[in-house]
Amino acid sequence: MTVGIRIRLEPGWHTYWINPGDAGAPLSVTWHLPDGVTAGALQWPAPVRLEEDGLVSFVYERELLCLATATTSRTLPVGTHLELKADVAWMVCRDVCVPHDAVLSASVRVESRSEPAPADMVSALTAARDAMPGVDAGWAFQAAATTGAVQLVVTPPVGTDAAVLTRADFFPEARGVIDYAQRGRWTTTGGRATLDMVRSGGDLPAGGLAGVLVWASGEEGAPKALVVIADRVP
Amino acid sequence: MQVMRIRGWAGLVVAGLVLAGWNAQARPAPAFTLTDIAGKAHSLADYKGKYVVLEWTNPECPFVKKHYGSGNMPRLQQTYTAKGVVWLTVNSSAAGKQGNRDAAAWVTWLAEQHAAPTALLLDPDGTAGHAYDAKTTPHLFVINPEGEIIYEGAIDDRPTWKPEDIDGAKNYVSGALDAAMAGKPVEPALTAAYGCSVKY
Repeated sequence: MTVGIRIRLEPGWHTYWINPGDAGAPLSVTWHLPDGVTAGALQWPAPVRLEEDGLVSFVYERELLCLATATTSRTLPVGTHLELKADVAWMVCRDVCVPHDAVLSASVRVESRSEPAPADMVSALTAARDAMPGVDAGWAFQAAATTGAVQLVVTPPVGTDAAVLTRADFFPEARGVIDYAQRGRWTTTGGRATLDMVRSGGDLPAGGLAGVLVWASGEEGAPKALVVIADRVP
Repeated sequence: MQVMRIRGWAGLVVAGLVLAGWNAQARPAPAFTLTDIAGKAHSLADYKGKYVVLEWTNPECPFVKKHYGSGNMPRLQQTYTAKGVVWLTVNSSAAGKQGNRDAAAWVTWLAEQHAAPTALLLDPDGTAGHAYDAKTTPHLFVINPEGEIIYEGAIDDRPTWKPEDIDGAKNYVSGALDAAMAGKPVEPALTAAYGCSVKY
């Protein structure tokens, strides 16, 4: 079962991705679920880059809809009521920052057949799921760090031109590794695209460089968003 | 193709080794002269031979409220000024931006918070803020008696605005000061600061 947490923002305000960038803090969620029900990791849509006074934040404007998959460990009898609750806390900023928190809940009743949910809710969740950064095994990623630089090398699947990435934004999940204010530079060679970024001093995580790549997928349509898990080389 | 790729990575490794030695030295703390809320000028050079903490602040920022409202920041100020550390709280809010206030309002705020810095310095032009690349409130810098930055970054390892997260957090500033005063290496020497953006 897909559960969504949606924050709608007034114009001019933004809230933050899992790595907020130079300032800010992400949404936090603490689930309170019935026995036998668990929620998977929160899934975050791709953020946008916001630059103000030389500081870079990774944000959502207008709306943030995070998803989680809730599962049950046992078969539930028809008629069972499940109360899904979550303590959520988030911060919205424009020229000033304001923290918020709320207790959200949703009731679910187990039915013998699938009942259509309200159409607007289904379409919002479906759209959010479709726009989520995807894992695509056809793409290969490697990362390397020197004292002053971090390099991400992307090898697209056969048939995809590496040049599509030269306008891509890379959002790193780990804080303190990359200097966000200095935009990375893409070069392509031999079917690979390489992003050279300025390192801010923090170590590349032992597991490598994780994040999200986002680029326009043509004249129309949603941007393409890809999950990056780059092994550290050497 | 495979050979070229390996050669490329090998080049990176060499560059890393050469530069690592250069980066291991702490960067010199940029000089500054700022006026405190009583109108007195303070230069970093005045405090040569002492440990100096620079703490960027904005009283209206939720992350600053977390560390003042809980008493965490005032406690650090009291603890370390008692050990001879010079603690300079700096506000770089530009005129008309959040956190820019007159001297009387600062005096009231310090009293309300039981804050105990050595001085509260005003940097409305952002000169010192930009020289240090202060990004957030709070953002902390620890300078050794030789005038080198030995720690810069977050106050602790819990990047939230919730006061309940202070208990059990690893405080990087007290960690850096305690280690340096005991003649031990400071680890970590650099972290990602967290908080509200400085209102330049």
